[in-house]
Amino acid sequence: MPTGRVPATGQIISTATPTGHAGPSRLPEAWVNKIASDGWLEARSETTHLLVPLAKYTGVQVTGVVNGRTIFKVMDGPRKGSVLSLTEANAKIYLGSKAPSRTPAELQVSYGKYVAGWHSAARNQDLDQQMATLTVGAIHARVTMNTNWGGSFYPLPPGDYDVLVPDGPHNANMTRYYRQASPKLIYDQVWFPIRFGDNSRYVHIGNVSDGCVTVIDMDLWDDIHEALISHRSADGSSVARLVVSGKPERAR
Amino acid sequence: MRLVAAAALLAGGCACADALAREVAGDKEIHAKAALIAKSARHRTRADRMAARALIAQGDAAYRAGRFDEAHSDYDNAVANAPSAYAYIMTGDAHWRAALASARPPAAAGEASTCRLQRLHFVDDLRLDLNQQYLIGLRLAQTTALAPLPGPALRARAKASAACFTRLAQDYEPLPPQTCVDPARIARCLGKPLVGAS
Repeated sequence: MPTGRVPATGQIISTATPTGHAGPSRLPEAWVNKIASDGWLEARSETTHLLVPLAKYTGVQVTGVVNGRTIFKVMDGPRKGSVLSLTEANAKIYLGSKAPSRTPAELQVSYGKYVAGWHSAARNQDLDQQMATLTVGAIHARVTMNTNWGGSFYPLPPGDYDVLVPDGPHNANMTRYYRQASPKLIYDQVWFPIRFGDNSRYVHIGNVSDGCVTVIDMDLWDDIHEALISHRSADGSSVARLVVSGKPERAR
Repeated sequence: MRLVAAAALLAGGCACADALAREVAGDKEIHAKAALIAKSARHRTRADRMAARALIAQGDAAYRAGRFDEAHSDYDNAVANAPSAYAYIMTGDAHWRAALASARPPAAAGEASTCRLQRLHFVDDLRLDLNQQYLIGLRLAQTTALAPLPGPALRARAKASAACFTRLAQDYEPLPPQTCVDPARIARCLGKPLVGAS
């Protein structure tokens, strides 16, 4: 009978069902509790041996330890069903017993002013921003809802939207330079997709929005990231419910 | 420019949205900005320059494929990683090609033509790109060796586009905010794509 150990607790587990039939249960037994500064845990695929990114609080089921590697199955999120592994030492560090909240976070965005010529120190550029305020729990942050005008991008219409579990690290070259102006910035490669159109709008950090909810207050991103990623909807597909209210001063 | 808008308002004609419209920056201002950018570029790391080059390569591929929104984002982020004349010029060019693509009337037969681009913010948007992309890029091309450098042909084309867009902004400035911007005029200013198909 295959056995495994929850790294954070040391608990020995088996994959036998309560009725004694071998086979995985459907509930996660451990979760990704620690991530790298880019916001992701990279684990090795047992089929391709390629690295596969997992978001914080992804549920896993440890199935055993083979040749010093902890083997586990991903139980939710975009990599659900994948069989991955970490070295035993890394599994102890990165997997743990803290589960996400089983209700989506509440994320509110309220439209504010259109500010022409807002200066971005990080980009050394003046930008025309449709500003808004983001609230999640006790966190209040400035966001821009659109920066790139004249083309196909426009601020998100008022309404309710699902914020989805992030699917993989976004290109570091799009945000890494913000660390020069905000040295404490972490998790900048985590972009949360918003269910709207082709899902190409995100909650993310930066100074330039292509119709996204773009968090300007870089120093708050760590807290916002945790406030979102530590929640999951009942079906595991989303992390938050986004409510956009008010009216943008500039719509196109 | 402000006088034109103010005169129109006094005459009770156009209630222009931007009586204090953005101006095209003068040579002195562009020169000073470009000098600061060139100075700051010296502090960029090898990783910054590599990131910029990777984004420019991605941008060129997207541009050649006609995905101008994507190309614009790539060039714009290349500038933020490590500025170069080429990335500045291409940011401006890709932005207006993307705008043009989205401003074109629906192709379906019998579908009503819609005005996607109005004069309301057009003049300001155009001048922002002139001041921060085209003119800076053209100045950097003259005064620095920040790689990659645009070739003489691309530089000449970009210069012609900038001059054409400057005139276009002047022409639209006194018009009412709801005036539809003629996509053909933007297309004429842009000309053929600056980066050819491979």
